[in-house]
Amino acid sequence: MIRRVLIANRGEIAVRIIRACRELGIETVAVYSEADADAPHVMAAHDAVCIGPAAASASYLRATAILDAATRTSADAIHPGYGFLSENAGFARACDERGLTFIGPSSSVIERMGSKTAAREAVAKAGVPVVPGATPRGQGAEAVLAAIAKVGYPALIKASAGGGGKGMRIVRTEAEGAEAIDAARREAERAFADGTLYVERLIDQPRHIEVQVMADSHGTTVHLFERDCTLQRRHQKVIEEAPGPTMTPALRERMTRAAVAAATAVGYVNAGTIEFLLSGDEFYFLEMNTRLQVEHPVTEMLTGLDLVRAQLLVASGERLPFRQDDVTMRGAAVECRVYAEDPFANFLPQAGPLLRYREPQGPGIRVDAGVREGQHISVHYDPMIAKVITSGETRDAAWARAALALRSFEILGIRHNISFLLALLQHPEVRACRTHTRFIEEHLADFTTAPIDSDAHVQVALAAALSANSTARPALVEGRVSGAIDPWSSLGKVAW
Amino acid sequence: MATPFRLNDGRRDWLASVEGPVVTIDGVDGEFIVTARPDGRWSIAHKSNGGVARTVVGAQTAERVWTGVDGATTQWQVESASSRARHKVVDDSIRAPMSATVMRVHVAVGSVVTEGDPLVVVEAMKMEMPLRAPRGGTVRAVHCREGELVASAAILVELA
Repeated sequence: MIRRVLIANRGEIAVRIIRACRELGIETVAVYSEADADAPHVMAAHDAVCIGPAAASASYLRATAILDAATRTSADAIHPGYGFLSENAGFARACDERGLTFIGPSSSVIERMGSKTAAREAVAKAGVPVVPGATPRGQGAEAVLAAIAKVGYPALIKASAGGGGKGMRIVRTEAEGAEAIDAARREAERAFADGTLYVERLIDQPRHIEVQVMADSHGTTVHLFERDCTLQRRHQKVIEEAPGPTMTPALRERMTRAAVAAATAVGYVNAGTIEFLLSGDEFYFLEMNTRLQVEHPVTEMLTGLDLVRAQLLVASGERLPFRQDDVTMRGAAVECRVYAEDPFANFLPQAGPLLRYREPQGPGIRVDAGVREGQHISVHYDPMIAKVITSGETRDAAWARAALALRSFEILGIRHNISFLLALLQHPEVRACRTHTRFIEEHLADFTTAPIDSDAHVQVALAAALSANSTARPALVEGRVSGAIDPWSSLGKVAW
Repeated sequence: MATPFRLNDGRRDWLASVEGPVVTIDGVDGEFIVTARPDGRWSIAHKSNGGVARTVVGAQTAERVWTGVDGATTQWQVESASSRARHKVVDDSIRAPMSATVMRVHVAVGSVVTEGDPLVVVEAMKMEMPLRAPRGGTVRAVHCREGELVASAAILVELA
């Protein structure tokens, strides 16, 4: 059994993994950049090692610094989380070479599934349908444009090593090609240190359905049903739910079978996700994510199973703690991603201090976060603040809980997207599942209107009262305020 | 004596005056009574609404006031209403939207641009943001280089 795990990540996913380790009696080592010295994931771990300055390229993406930290702290395994080095085959191989257990699939599988082209070939061979696509003959702009012409417009340029929408651009006309190729390549180089591009046909108005799979090293592969991640903005998922609200039992049977076939065909071990585009009742393999997903809690809330615990057991060489028959759905679950971005200003990422940060609580509400009140949200990393996951007996019940949870979330000091999430949850087309992966972009105005006036008035009143107190402070201190109610005296020595 | 304030939430101005715990808002009937609660939140009772109180949260820094209700958060710029009206600037400067790295500079001094042309591409939080010309014109000055880290609101390009 694994004894001591180094978590090569930060934020909510690092905290999530540390919890699962502690439940199994596994010791934990956090790594952190200079900007994260007092971050919650550092506090949660047994030991913590600083691996470099704030920039991810100088810290969380620096494989040798992380491997050295593992050696120095006698860790015997590394959990990569998602993003950063989680789908870097070279890193997984380097772990093997140092005798460290990489908690994920083998480096050769990461390499194969990480290459869009090799992955397509592998799953197509297993009988899984794929989107028409092309690998450019060379990486020059002309070669990429030629590949686009081959699959036909509209096309999608993708980073071969990519994920999470980074290094991805839609090209609708030839004229847009050059700028899009340039931008995609730069983003890919920065995010993955690999600017190789790949091109495929854009499937119009699809739903994004992904199947969670889990496999052990004893030959067992199971699926944990699907997640519907159709609600995206710029290819970044915003709201994810399970079960897929438009799925039929027959379609679920076909898609989960295809996912298990794809995983089995490549000899997959540990947690993975097969992403599909669904158009009508035709589905196409999009890619396989050879890691834990951001939205894995949706599946955990739906099935009652712990995916990270299963990952740790499987990486220790044990059998999966559940069989296919044990995996059942209970009601519905939904996840809303709370981002530090301003929906009223073109979703500009925000940086600033969390002056007040109080998470919602209650039956069926789970919040995965890696921030705390007083922390400064920096510009260096992904702007996700927290994930709010709720479950209920039905989709409506889970969504009602999500709205309640979001309305109870108190975040001050930084602009965030909660109003936008609430507008999405209430939108009639969203409720009725008449959506597709570009739905948010096409209906943006519906979700980015100002809040209603009664909410505005009470906020104006408080803002004015707080301002008056800070300017009229001497008068208050001397107790010259008339009237029975002094709203400030009860707070004592508050740093105004 | 009541203290008048001008509050701006980035979309519109509000005028409010405060006397002890009582706030009146220009154009809104009835007083609002502000009461601190022991849990650090605030009760705001609206008199013309039968005194029904809403729970609101608030926080303050030297430059800004923040309030939140039902999950929504508002950032307020507050100034004393008696101070002279804010100077309205016709801005010919393209500023950094936040502290960011300059990835591309598409223009040089003298470049002629039309509205919507990308001038500079900055990157923060792993996202690229093209800064486009707000109007047509000639570039008068460029204040950034590729690879440079620029502060929030720093002037990057000026149009003539």
